[in-house]
Amino acid sequence: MIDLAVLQQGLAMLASPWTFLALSAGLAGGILIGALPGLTATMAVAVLAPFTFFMEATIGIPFLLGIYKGAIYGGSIPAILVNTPGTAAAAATARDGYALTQQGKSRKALELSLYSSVVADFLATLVLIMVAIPLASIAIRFGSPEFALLYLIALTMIATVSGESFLKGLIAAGLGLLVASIGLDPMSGYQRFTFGNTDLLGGVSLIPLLIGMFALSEILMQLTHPPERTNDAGQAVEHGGERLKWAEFWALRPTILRSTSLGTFLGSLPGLGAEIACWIAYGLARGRSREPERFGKGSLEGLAAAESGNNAVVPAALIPMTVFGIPGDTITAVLIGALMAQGMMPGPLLIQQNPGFLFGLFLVLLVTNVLLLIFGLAAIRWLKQVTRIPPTVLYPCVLLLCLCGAYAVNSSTFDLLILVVGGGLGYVMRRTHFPIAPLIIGLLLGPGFESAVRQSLVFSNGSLAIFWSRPGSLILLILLALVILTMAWRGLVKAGVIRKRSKSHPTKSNNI
Amino acid sequence: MSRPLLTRTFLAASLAAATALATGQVLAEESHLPDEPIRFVTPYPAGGSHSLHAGIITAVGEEFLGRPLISVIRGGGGGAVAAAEVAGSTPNGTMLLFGDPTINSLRPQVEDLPYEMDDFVPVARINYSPAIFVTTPDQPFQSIGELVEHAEENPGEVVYSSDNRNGFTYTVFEMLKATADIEMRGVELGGGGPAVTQLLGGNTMAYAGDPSVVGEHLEAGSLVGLCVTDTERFEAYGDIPTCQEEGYDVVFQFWRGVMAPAGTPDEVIAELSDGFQRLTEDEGFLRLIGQIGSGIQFLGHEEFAEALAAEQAALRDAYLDD
Amino acid sequence: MNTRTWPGGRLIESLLALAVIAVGVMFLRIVHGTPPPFGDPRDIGSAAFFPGLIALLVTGLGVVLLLSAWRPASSVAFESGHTARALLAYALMVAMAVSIRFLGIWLVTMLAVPLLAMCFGERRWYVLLALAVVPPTLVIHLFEGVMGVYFPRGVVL
Repeated sequence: MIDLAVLQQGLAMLASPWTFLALSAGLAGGILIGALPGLTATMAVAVLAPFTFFMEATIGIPFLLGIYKGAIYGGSIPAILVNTPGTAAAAATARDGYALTQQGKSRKALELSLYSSVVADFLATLVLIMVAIPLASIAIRFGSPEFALLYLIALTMIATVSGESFLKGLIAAGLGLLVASIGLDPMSGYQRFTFGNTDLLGGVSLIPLLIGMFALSEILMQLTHPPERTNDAGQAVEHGGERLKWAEFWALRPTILRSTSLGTFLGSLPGLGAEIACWIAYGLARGRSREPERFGKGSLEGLAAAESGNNAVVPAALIPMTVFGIPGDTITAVLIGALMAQGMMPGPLLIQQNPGFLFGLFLVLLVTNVLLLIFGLAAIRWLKQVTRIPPTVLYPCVLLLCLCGAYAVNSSTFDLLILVVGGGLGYVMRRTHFPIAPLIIGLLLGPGFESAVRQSLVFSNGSLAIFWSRPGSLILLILLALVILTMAWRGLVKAGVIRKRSKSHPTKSNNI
Repeated sequence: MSRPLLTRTFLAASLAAATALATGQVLAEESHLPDEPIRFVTPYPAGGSHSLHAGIITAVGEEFLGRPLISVIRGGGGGAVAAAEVAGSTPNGTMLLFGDPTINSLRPQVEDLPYEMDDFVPVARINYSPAIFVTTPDQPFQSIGELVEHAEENPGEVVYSSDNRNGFTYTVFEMLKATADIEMRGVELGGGGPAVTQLLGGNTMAYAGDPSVVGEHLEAGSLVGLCVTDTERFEAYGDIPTCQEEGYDVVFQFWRGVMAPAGTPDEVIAELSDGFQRLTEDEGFLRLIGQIGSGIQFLGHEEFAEALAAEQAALRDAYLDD
Repeated sequence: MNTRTWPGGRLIESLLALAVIAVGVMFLRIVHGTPPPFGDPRDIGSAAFFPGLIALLVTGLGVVLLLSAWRPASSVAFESGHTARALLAYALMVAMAVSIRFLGIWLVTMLAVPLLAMCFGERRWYVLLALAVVPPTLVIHLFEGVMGVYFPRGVVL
């Protein structure tokens, strides 16, 4: 398939110092941007893409890819350190990552997040290079009915995994879905629940609400329960705790491999983002874990599952782009634009006409991972000091970043109101033991879920049979039934209705 | 107001390469614009053809308009949120909307939106593109005539990918259904990307979209062009007939143009219009526009106003009188 | 950790349940209004079906929460803490979000950052002064300079 000339052209691109420099600059900038709440990878790529129009393709495109990867990784940093996920995909990271920070193990959390990201990304990139075409031809067969079922599986997982009380988790997810229905309905043109407010036409913006519910409520919680600064904890906390041991990481390899394959497959479906992948991966990891009760309280497994799940999506989202020229998500849509401005249409023609450039890009993606590892390790040396900053300085700065980040998403002052309303709501929910994540994910997945269901019904002319008459949807339906049955079984066992016979759980099926 | 640092560095490096000459004093005479940056508002989320065009315009625009251009991407409500915000802004030329026919001609007439058509005055039309009706090679119809025949024989059985209610694709399919008197079912998928995906995946049977969205698939042969919704054939795909040639009077030009809030002084409109005209004549700009598979069909503010009024009237007739 | 609990946990839980029910009923009333504003809520393809279903679900779950709070075996307990301080800081946040339109980004951030530090117990004037100047300048220039996000300007700055 790949001949020597192609190989040579690809390697030449990699050897260029300018490509390297652009990649490094992009990566460093991306980590910084991703670490600031509210500045998302999509936004960074969209804002900086026009400048690459004037650069060489071998400089501009690696620069953008660097930003993309850096920003996705960077999002996990504030999630771990100050419980402020910059994107919804990092919300799962925040659960266990921040719990580790509170236990004085922020260094371990940061290192684990870096390693799982890099491993997942590297493996998913290999998948992209080797089996992009067969995988994409499966993925493109996925229509609205399959998507509807995937959304339902993700929602079920989230409601069940994210809190102590299943009931409260469900209520939070339901409230999120209700909030999601606010705004202009794209299928019918009705303005739902807008109460005549123009700003609500576009719906409640996700990122400001997310920042409010996580970060502002965190500030308020810190005021309510100030951590007692005793001497015995002081030493460990201030140095970020000990580093991740190799044995600990090695023990996590089934979790990471499972989450990576899941993330890669879900990422290759055009339109499904990292958010779904990381929560399904998290839920699956908890389901198969020997100590599921530690999830949300600083479980290394949970953190590794969430991080490898959402990072595996990044290269996988490039699969529909390189094979069909279809954007896998918003960022790849912007990347397609940048490639087009370079006179290169991504898609089947690029593979035929410019295989060298494409091969070079793949190599760049692999090299990015090595660079990400180096940059990440360097950053962690400094970042673990963040826990040294006294709260009187740290939290006012977090507030400032939240304010600027929430405004930056849409350049809208209305979003600042959403931010503070979210902050208040998040505070009340945390004081009363309602989990926040289901509400956010409900808001995120609600529109996609609803339109997938309604689109399916248009396809089938109103018949519900479409959800089991297609091979793909039938498999997913069975999976959904399995998920619900497992959950119900566990619930009954926990409630003491069914007595568990032995300690070992009868899930000795094959590993994925 | 300091110019963004990074922007300046990039522009300095890049413009030197892109446009070999001609910076400096473009605006010799007194400007009517306030001394602040112009916010150029894209009403759709990042990633579509609108934001791509806006990215190029704002990256190159400063030297032609005499003010820095800031690209503001403000999606939501299918463009209604951004339109309402620009309509309510101070009318002095510092906030402009990157409009199109669905936002500025169609939807305010058929939907209850928080702004009116008259809340905007046209500044300049940058370009337009027709829609190309497409299908996949394995469908039972391979021309627009066969599609209509197939739909007549199987009413309601043809399922097509649509974008949003009252969007670009939605509208051209409504026009086709009205002129050919056929029944087909549209699935609103929210945008060109998912619409093409569902078509390629065999879940829908037809689509009509912007050449930048379907063009590559036409070249690769994964999609077949049926007809073009313009009065003449599209240059790059000259073998696809126009819908009129095939006997269906479907003409819809999806323009992209700059709109200012109503009440903006005439001299400001004229100055902006001139600035955009100089921009669209610039070689570096044309090269970039060409690379994204687009062209320039510039109209100054006066001609654009006439064309817009005619289009609004035509849509009023088509939608409201029957 | 702080292990003191609030008295009247049941009361609070019931109030929460009632709030959830209120939200659900409000959405239900809108969806089932006459004439139905978004189409027939019983038609699965309409714009009203999905919100109607979710609102019904939320209302039902709220009722379950209310009932379970008054189960004899239930032990609802919430930790108490410095709620007044948090409320004060929240009032500051609300004031900040509302006033940014009039006061502009500079004035608002330069006031909000040191004021929140004071909520956290910082009293040294030089630290407060540094907080008022350094972080806002850095962050605003970062956003405006690199990302091209322009913040609203007020009457003064």
